[in-house]
Amino acid sequence: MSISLQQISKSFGNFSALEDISLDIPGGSLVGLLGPSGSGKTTLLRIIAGLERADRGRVLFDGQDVTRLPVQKRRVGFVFQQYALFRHMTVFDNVGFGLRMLPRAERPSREARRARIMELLAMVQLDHLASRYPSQLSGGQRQRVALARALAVKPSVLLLDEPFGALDAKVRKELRRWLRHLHEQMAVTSVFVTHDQEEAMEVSDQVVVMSQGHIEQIGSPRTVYEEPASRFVFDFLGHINALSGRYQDGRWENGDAWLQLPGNGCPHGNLTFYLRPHEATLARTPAADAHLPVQVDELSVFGATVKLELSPRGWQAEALEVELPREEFLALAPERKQALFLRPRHLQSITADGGLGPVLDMQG
Amino acid sequence: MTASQLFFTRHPVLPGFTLSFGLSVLFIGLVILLPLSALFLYTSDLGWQEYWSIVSNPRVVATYRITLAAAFWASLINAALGLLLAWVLVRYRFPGRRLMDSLVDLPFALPTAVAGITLSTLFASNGWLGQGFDWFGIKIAYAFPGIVIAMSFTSLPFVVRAVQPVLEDLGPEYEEAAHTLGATQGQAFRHVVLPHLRPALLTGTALAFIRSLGEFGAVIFIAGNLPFETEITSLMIFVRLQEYDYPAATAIASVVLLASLVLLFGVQWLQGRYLTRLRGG
Repeated sequence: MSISLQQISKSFGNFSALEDISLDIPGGSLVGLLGPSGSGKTTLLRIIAGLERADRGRVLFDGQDVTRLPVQKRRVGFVFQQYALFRHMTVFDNVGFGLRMLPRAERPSREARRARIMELLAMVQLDHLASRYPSQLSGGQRQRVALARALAVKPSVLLLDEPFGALDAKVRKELRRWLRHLHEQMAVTSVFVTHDQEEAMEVSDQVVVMSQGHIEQIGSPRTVYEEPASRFVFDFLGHINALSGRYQDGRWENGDAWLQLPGNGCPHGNLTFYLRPHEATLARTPAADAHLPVQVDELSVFGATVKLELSPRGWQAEALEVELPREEFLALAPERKQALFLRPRHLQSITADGGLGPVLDMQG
Repeated sequence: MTASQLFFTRHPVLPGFTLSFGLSVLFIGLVILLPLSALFLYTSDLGWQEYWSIVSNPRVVATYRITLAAAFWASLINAALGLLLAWVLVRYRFPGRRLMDSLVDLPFALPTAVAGITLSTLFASNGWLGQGFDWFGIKIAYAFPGIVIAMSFTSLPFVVRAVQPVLEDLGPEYEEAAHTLGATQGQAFRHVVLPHLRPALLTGTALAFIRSLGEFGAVIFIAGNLPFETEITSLMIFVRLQEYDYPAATAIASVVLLASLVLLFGVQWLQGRYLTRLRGG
């Protein structure tokens, strides 16, 4: 079932949580609403569910206006951040709750309900814990019970509020993959909220990046990462190094550091460059068009890429981070405290007013 | 339990255990256990035959019936009203909420006799509220309904204060979860909220009931105290005391005490059983 939001606005008192949000979610897709806390993503999810009512705007499910339809009638599965499992019911009863609440005419027989519940519990691999109480389960297990409970009534839309927020890193990774897998099996339109970029990138078909009640960008994980539409998106997705300085007549300067950038259309004055950790390399000598002296502070040598923390020598910048492929790292063999030069390959300029300027390809 | 645990030879980690434990035991002994044993000591002057004839005297038995019935109705009213009050205090934000919250404790703070006199003045057939009821031919003060009202007044805080924290703990997301699963407001309340509150509600109501069984000050002013009609057990004890019939007074008191203790332990047991289920283990 496709979801369409049209000019949704919502405020709480003086605080404007959502401003004029329009969004189309195609049927069967898995969409991640990504943003920092306070960006309005949870409010948007609750408006889709019908738990919150928008001040203005319309919500359509498959073209049908459901703006005024109460939550009970919307047939949405909602997984709460803290799961909200009913503590006084067993896992079995929790999952069966939605089926028991159906009007008598639609309610399946006891045996049919039992079969459906056990089928769902088998799907979330918890059939052996059916008679336990929520308090006797681990966080990951509770999460899966909450999911099974939401799916029991065959919802047309599945909504998840920070589904992995309360779990530890390892369980979280496992569940992510599992959710992706589950979605492929069931093909129910799903929307989840997260503040974790990695999670949004790994799980979703489409990412909706939000900040301060606005949508910053909608696109596939690859698009929003490689072609960020705004400074915010660039900043929010992954680690960035910010190099700020002054630009004049083809030359950017910050203390001892300089970049030679002839005729690239950058405005004069204060100019910042964003540099992703993997879009630069290190060398013992400066490049012809980039002189960025740095010192190695920390090395972490695990994995296919090696992460180096650097500090600028003779110029001003926040701690810098660079990721090198393992071969490159071995060839260079840098050591702690060693003086090196940073050679950017790809720079995103940010103008003084905070907008995105031209993208520069350097010699590297 | 091993002997070492039983006799505290394994010293607790926190300091001050000996002193604080000693003081607690002394206090409980002096204020609670000593008077209780004195009560049973007095009672033990009586033989079983005498004891039985005192506690099964028709007039005394009538007071049991009246007290139990009034306490039952009072706790029932309090269970409903207390739940409503706790609900309003926890779930809604309105001007005067704090004032309302502190007013709930008033029955504890007010001398019960003052409450009794005030209530009887209000509900007397010529009082502000009593007039209205009198018009419909309903007698409240100096009749059975008066006892119920006095009892529910003095024991209302028990229910509110028992339910309130549990309700605060139960965030709105549980009801929301029920709603997303198709439950109506009523269904969400019946199947989700009420079961969560049940142990607290039960404890609060039971405490209110126990308190009502022993209530004296508030009731005697409004009850009218007619033997076989509006006489409560605690008044019966008082009457026997005034007749200098101490053994009889203590005998009746022991019945009240026994009933209260049995109820208290019963509630504790039920609650413990329920909590282990909620908290796991």
